[in-house]
Amino acid sequence: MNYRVIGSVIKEEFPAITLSLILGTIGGAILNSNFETILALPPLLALEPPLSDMAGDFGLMIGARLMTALKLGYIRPRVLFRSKVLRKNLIATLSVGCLASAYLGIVILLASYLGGLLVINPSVLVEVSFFSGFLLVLVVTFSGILFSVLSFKYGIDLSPLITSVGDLSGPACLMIGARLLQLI
Amino acid sequence: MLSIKRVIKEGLMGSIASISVGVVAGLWLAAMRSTLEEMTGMLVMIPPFMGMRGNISGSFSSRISTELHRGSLKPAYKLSGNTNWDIFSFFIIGTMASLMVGIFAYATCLLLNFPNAGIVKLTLTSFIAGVISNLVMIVLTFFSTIFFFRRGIDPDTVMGPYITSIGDIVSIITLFMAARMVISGW
Repeated sequence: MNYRVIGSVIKEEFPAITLSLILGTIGGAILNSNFETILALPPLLALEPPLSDMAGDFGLMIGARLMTALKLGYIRPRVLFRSKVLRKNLIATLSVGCLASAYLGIVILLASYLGGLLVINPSVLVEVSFFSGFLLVLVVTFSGILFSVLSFKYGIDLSPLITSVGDLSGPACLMIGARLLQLI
Repeated sequence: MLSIKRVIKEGLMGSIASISVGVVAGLWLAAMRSTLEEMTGMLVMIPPFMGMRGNISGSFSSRISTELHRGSLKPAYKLSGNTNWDIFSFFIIGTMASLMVGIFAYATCLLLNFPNAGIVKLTLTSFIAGVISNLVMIVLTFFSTIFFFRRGIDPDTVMGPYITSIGDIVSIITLFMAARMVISGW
């Protein structure tokens, strides 16, 4: 048996997976603390998987771009927020985030309607989807920037942390959005 | 130079695909509310289970892709040598992680005083779902990575969003299949 391959995979992957499980479980606890409401409002439950996907996609998008820019010397960590490259990346990421959140609102509305799950005022559902989506994009974009700079500075790969933050912030942003817009 | 328009165009296309598949997974989840009511505490497992699936498939794909780029793995739809060990290793870690999902969910329910179906039912559900989804996703990830590489598309660029989105659907279907099996006593 090639125990060395198994050992190296477990050693490399286990810390990131454990961290992701811990943060994801906290996210699950946030959802479960509103169990009755979430079951009574199925479109909210249906928003969880796409929000989690968005978190991973946006965190990795800005993270990968920034890491490349840092490695190529286009951005210096000391003058990070004065960098034109960072500003352009932020504008691009937040623009995509804004459009993607609007798309999420429309698609979830259509899907809920077609699936017979539309038990919420349609405009409130679109508002909650948009607000939660955009809040999530803000959280994962800024954590992506933070972890990329820390990865570059200390020479360790912190990219699994970016997706782990998404596992927690997906359910958290959904509940914050639903609460702020007085859906729950 | 960075073109904002290009980043927006590429990023938006990826996001639209990912959100669309995510909504399909969400509809499955919403359609299975009665199972969530019967298997109390299961809702706590859903985000970590989906996150775990994405992490494992993403890492496996990146490993296969590195071997393809390095030339140590031929882009053939055939399992051989070290790839078998990689597959076995990721299967083991996926199974371990799925057991942990059940245990963490139960511990969280105890800690926060949530009603729950008990450690045996929760852990068994996540274990069965983990084994089935591991088998499906590892095979799918391996052959998709080879498929993209053979067509000159860099798997590092496309596999991440593709595999996490597909993984969400597989995770939700297998979790609910497993829960139904456990609830009905097979």
